[in-house]
Amino acid sequence: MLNSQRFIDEFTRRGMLHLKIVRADIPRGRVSSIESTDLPEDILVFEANDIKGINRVAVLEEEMPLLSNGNIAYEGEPILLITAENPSSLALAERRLKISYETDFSLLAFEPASKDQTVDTVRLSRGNPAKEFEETTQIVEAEYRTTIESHVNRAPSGAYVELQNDRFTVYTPTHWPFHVRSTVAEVLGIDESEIKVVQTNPSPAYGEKVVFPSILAAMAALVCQNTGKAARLLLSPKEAEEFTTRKAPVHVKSTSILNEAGKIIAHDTHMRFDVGAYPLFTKELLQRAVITSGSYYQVPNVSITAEAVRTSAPPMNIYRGLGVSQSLFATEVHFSRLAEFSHLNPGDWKKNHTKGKRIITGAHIPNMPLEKLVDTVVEQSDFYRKHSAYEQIRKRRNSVKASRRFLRGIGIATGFTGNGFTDKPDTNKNWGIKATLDKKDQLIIECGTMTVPEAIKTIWKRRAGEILGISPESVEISSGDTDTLPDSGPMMLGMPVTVYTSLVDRCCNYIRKQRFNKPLPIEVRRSILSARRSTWDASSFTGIPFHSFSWGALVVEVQLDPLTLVPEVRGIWAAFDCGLVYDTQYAVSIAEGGIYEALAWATGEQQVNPRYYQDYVIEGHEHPNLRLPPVSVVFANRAKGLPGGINEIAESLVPAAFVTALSQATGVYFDRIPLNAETIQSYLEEPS
Amino acid sequence: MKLRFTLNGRAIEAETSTSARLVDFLRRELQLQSLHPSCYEGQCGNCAILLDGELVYACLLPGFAVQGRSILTYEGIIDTLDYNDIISGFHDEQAHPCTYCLPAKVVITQSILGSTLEPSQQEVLETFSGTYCPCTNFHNLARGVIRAGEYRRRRLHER
Repeated sequence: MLNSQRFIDEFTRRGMLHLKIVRADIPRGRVSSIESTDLPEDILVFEANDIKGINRVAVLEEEMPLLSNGNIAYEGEPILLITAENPSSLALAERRLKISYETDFSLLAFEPASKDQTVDTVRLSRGNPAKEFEETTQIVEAEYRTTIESHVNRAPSGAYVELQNDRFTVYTPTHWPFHVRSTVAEVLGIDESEIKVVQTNPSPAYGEKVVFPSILAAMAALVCQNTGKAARLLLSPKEAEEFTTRKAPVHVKSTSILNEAGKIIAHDTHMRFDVGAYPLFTKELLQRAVITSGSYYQVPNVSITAEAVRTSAPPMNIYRGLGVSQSLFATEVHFSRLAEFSHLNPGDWKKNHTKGKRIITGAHIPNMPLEKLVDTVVEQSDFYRKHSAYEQIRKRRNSVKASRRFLRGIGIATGFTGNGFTDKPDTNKNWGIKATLDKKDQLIIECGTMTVPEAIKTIWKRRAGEILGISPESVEISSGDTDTLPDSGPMMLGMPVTVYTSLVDRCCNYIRKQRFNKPLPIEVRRSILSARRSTWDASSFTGIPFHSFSWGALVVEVQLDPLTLVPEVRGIWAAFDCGLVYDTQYAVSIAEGGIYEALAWATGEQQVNPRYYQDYVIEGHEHPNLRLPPVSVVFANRAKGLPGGINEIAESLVPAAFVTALSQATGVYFDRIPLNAETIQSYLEEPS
Repeated sequence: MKLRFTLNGRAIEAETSTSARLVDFLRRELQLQSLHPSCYEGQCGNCAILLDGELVYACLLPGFAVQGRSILTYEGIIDTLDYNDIISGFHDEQAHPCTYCLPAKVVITQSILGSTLEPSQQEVLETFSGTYCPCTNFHNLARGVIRAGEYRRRRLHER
């Protein structure tokens, strides 16, 4: 089996050392002493002082310590590594280690956070919003919140390191192998040429396979360097869920002024993200949040600020989407309110704002598809009729609890997400791929920065098969290693489909042309540099910020049982323009997957106690899977344009449409997710 | 304690501690790498096996639960024509489970088709309700299982 298909827990060797991280059990303070008496004989203990290089993991300008240097910034921070050949010795050793602390009780909270906790701030300003706010008396103000999102079902996180021919070979499920190599080199104090990194299977993953494999690899490599033995570190599912990464919560304050025609005259938004104890990728997160918050609404006076604050929570910013879904949630719920205050149908109100053909950065989008997308979803969902009918019913009703019928509402959200990084870390890197047709007519595709999702592999195999006239079964996709492939940066934010599928096509077309002119094997490398790099200016927030865009409009219709307050989705209608779609059926499947994931986030279904699932079985209720609402997905312009990611735009629009629909159903302005029966009840109990 | 049981048609004798979970016993002692427990709470469904033909999650059972019984895992299905039916059905309906959850989805499908070759969508979704992986669209999966049933019916009928 290829290394890229094996999971890290399948890498094992007789005599290898097993590692365990000893973590801090206080949230903030200092380690005052460590006693390690009566440890089993085969146990070795490593601390920060054993590091021969630099005790840090760095991403761009930010860094965190590999092992605590004495300071504790969050509960669960790694302090020591213990290692043994027999893994059962590790639990015993951990119990016998006694770590004493000087506890600092001044925890860094998210709400309220002090100014000292601010890590970074990104601000975009156009016109003079302050002047407009001074001169008006009618202002719409609101606050929005999202909570942490996490998932239990992740492929194992870990690293296996061994010495091969005096070089360190690192196996780890990473989306960024060259970052693993540079981190290990820095921690061990050796040259990068002494290290080879081989990717193992990282999927399913939610962002934790971007930087955390570098940390785990450096830990295993530290042990390997000091003992000369192969070493493996595996995180338990609980450790992976709690201490790798989660979606950062956000608190948003928005203030707007409308004119008589319902147009936004001035808009001010301040987003504050909780990025935990050690922020990483902060600038990218904040920039993406600002751009998607500004969106396509042509507001003449606008100020958008995104701020990252350090807290005493475990690090949690490198999560799928990097701040976009939180930002779009707040923006779209807020703008739906503005539509309501304008006494316009939200569908019309949104269409009125698509006329400018520009996004907030000033980039001109000549074929902006939003008007067409809105038309599609409002027609398919019968939005105008339902919205008017539900408005009238709600206005006639005295209270939610007094109602004897299901309460219904419908909401719409629109927007875009970007594919590829806005700036660093891929600024100076090409995205590359290598393909080889061997003498047996087998095609091997090697991609430097990732292992590829199964469905995308299927697309690649089919396309390669069609171009070269070979069977898709004879196409093999391997991730290669850092010795053989170019550094293409981290693999996330829709890169597999947006960039690499077209590179596969280009490689195969080249091989097809050369096939009968050159002897086999034929090897070809192809790479591209994103065109937007020449137009984007991150300092002034002008130009085209992304490699490509994914646009969407989405409608959610809900009903609420007035007795149980359990929200139920009656239907979802979505229209997307994600450029060229290689396989419509697969694209629909991806979009539906993103929609269901987002629905789970919006309703908090994955954040409840695991017993929840068992209760469903025991009490004979339906499982969430059985209540999958009907979803209609349409792709516009699917035969042209740069291909864009689908999952992220689908996932980002659902929460806002869901919350807006529930607000219409109940007449209560909901401003946070997750929303379930319990939180809805708490809103209803608040004095109006 | 010493265990005697049948694993994928082979008689097995092995030692396990009384406190070991079945999933850990099968992975560590018998190297069944198709089992991917990511929750240990019966939530993800990635350690699905058939115990005497009944679908169970190996993380929720003690190792000694297999004493004298028969286990079927992904490794016991992969080289059979049953596997071809399932994968063909998944492929036709654009159900592309990731390599992490595919083994469990194959075992669960085998369980469904063991009781009926014409399952309804509701039956499929009910049986899969003990699993969770974001890679797979459940509608496509349900159609894939139904299609796999068609393939198997056709194959058995042709015989």
